[in-house]
Amino acid sequence: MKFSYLLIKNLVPKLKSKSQLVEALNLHAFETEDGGGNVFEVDIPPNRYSDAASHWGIAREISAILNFKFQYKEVQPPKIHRQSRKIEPLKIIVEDKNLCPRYIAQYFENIRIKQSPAWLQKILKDCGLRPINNVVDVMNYAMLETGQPLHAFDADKLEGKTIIVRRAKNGESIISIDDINYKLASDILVIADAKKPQAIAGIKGGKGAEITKGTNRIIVESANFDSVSIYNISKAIKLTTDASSRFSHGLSPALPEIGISRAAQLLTDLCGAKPAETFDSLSKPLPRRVLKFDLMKFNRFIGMNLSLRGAENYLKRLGFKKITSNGVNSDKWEIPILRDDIERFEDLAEEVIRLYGYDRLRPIAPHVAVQPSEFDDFIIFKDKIRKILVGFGLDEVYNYSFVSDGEVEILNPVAEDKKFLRPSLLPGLIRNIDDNFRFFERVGVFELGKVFNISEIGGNIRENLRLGIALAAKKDETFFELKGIIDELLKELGLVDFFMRDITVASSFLYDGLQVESDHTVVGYLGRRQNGVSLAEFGAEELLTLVEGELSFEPLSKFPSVMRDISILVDADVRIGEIVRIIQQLNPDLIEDVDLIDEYIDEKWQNLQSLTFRIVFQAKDRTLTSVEVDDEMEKITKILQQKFNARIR
Amino acid sequence: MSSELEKLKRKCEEEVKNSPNAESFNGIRIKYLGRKGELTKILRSLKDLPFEERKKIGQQANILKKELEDLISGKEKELSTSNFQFPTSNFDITKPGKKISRGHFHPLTKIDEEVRQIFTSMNFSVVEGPEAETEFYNFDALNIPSNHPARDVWDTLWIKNPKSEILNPKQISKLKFQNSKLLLRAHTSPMQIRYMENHNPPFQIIVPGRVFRYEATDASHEINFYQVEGLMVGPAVTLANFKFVVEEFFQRFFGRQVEFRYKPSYFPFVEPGLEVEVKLGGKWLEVMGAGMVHRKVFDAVRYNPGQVQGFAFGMGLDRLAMLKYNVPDIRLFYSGDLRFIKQF
Repeated sequence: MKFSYLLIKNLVPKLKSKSQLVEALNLHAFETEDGGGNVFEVDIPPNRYSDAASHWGIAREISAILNFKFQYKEVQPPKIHRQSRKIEPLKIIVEDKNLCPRYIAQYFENIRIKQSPAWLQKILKDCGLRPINNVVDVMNYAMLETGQPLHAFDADKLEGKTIIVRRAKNGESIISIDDINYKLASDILVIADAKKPQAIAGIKGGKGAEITKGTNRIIVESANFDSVSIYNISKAIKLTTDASSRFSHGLSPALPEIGISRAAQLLTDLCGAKPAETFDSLSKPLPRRVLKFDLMKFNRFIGMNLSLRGAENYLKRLGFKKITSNGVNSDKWEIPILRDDIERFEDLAEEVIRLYGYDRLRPIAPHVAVQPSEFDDFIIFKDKIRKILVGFGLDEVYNYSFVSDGEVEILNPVAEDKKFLRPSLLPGLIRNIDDNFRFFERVGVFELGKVFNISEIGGNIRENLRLGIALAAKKDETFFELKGIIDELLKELGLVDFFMRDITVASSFLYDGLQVESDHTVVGYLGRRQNGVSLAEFGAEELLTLVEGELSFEPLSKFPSVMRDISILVDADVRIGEIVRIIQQLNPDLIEDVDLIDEYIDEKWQNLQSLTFRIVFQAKDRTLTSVEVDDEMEKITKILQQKFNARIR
Repeated sequence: MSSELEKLKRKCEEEVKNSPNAESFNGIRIKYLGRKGELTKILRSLKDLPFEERKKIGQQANILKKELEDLISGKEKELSTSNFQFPTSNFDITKPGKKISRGHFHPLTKIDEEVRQIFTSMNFSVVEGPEAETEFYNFDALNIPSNHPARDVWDTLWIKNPKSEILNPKQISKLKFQNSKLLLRAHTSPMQIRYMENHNPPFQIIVPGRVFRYEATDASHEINFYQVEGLMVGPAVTLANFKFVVEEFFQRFFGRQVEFRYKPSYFPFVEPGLEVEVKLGGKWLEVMGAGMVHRKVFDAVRYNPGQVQGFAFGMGLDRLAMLKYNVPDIRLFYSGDLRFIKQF
């Protein structure tokens, strides 16, 4: 929000410079920036619009911070006839007191419309407002000073000499001062005359009762409107104004009185107006609010040792009044009327400590009960996976959570291609490969991230942590490298009992693939695309639940192992994985490992492949004799001949 | 030694010496030591000599056989195992090292790990939470009122979902929140509530994680980025304790004495609320929002009022990484560009 340093300096003459102001506000009140020229900008917190979104408010703050006495020109409160239902010659009716807790209106005569003085125009412009004429400018200027939005109607243009604060009727509409036609839904609060709406309450005035050159008599409105209603309506009709923004944040019902008083004074001074009667819908005075301040509690809360005098001094500077009864001070404090944000002890504590200064507070090491730090299982698991894969030479990427197509849709996407939450990590990784092929011959990337799906049963959103890997080289096949990486990764993670078999559910990302299973659970997939990119994706939850066992030591065998090679010639469409599995299953007690050490295809053979396997035999309890191994080899030979029609070479 | 053996020895040594590679040794071995090799030939030719003579040459031949075998296999091993010749004159150790390809952690992973390490050394625990959240955890329970501009500070991405429920293995769905609208968490603060619902003080945690905003992207804004939330609650955790912890953290993180500045600020879930700035390169930079946990937040998790107090803070991991590594554009982190990743 923009403020005029000229005006503040006028209100607080002891201020040395704008930079003094900016610095002091920054360290003790609100985020403030020098806006150049006479301007400074303050980020008013959403809960301080009632008291601080005004020049008087900022003047109060800075005076409290710098320990000046704030003496703004006292304004004479207008004579208010609280009980009156009407002010001559107008009748005012507030129909909806929930949406309009307070409505003050004052009647002014003898207005002469002209330009406002240059000093006022300058302040308006510095604060980002456009000067119009003296009446409208006074409304805006009084708002800048007091924080209360004000509106002036041409009294002679109000049909039936009536103001009614009511909800819009079906089919009603209004043309705003800037000539835009708004259709009014029935939840919208309007300020109407006897016939039609003349303003959207708290948001924008209408064309009908606009102040023009010939205006002579006016009604000034200084009201309080329900913040939620203004917030919602302003959003619904897509119209945010200075007034609507202030009302949306919530203003004190005490503020309209202050606003109208200042406006009346200015109208008299600058427009030659003759103030007349005032109407106020509020019949009871606003309650006094009181809060206890406990110094011991304060020092325990902040962690310091502030004196009572010190603390009380800060509260007094901010306008809190200590309550005395029978001449004796209590520890109760009356809250300044506009400070709607002060509700509890901690609010008072904040007032005291910020004036004291956070920078001055001495850091103190906390007392901590020694107990071991804990980690989510997933955090450790992710770390482990990352370390293994980086060790294999893969680079880690972070992709966007958003994709153009998926299952879980965003209501308000930032772009068409970011309409869905990613259902898989693979699309992102595939793009990484393409993008990086411009600069690299070979790309190996992985990502650990959340994916989102709709569960088949129940239709709920599922959020799962996944691991995705993509590997590709411009000139080489990479699938078996990926397969090897996954093999080692899973072993290193502690997943001992797993196997890979043909994918049972088609994946849109893979040309062909394998699924990795362990304990009857599919933990992930790996496969390749037609363009040679190799991909894998694993569910972290699935993996984690299966590997929770600790690694354990197995005694090193005391007995030597025996290695035998066997070369066979089989049909080219016999699958190597199947041969390995068959050999392994033959005698798991003795066969320690089966490895493919050579494969060869000669075009002359027509659809045959030559394969050489190395088989490692090992017994736990004895040295194997060559006779035993020969026996095993015999069995292997036989089963290969039977099952695969293999010729032994 | 008989002259013939001498001759054989020299010939064989010569051939071994000139042998270019490991593969040729088998040939040499067969040629000299094989069953039909030179040495055998010599031994065969001895059959006409007297026994004493034969015995002597036979012994010599056996010694020679062993010598040559050692020579051949020694040389063979030398060439085959290392495939290099011990260069003596032209071994230039100033030549560039061989390019070893290694993988790279994402820079945010590195920063995340560093942050976790510093905090765990101060006895903080590390927890994570769901990215898809309910309006209740993201806003209501954190005292961020609905229908108020205060909530607009978090530009939220909302999820379209007929069922209005999130399933997560780690998440117990609660009946009372089932009607809460779904969104992508706009900050890591919802985990304050989730953690406190299931744990009793005293504790101190950090929560790193991905958060989301409806935002026009530019060099310093992204639609997804990372935050680290901190929360310490106990019977007597003070604002002065907060200053100690956070100064300790930043000093270790930036590896030197850092200047700090604290400014009042407003976050609905803390009271008092403040912002932490550090001076880097002569400039004050906002690095953290923080404050004492708001009473209404404790109320939302049904902690006994008056018996607990604590602080909470939140900081942007991307921003820390940008400061530490001089990264000029936040979008680089999510570009997947390996020219960028491989620098870390």
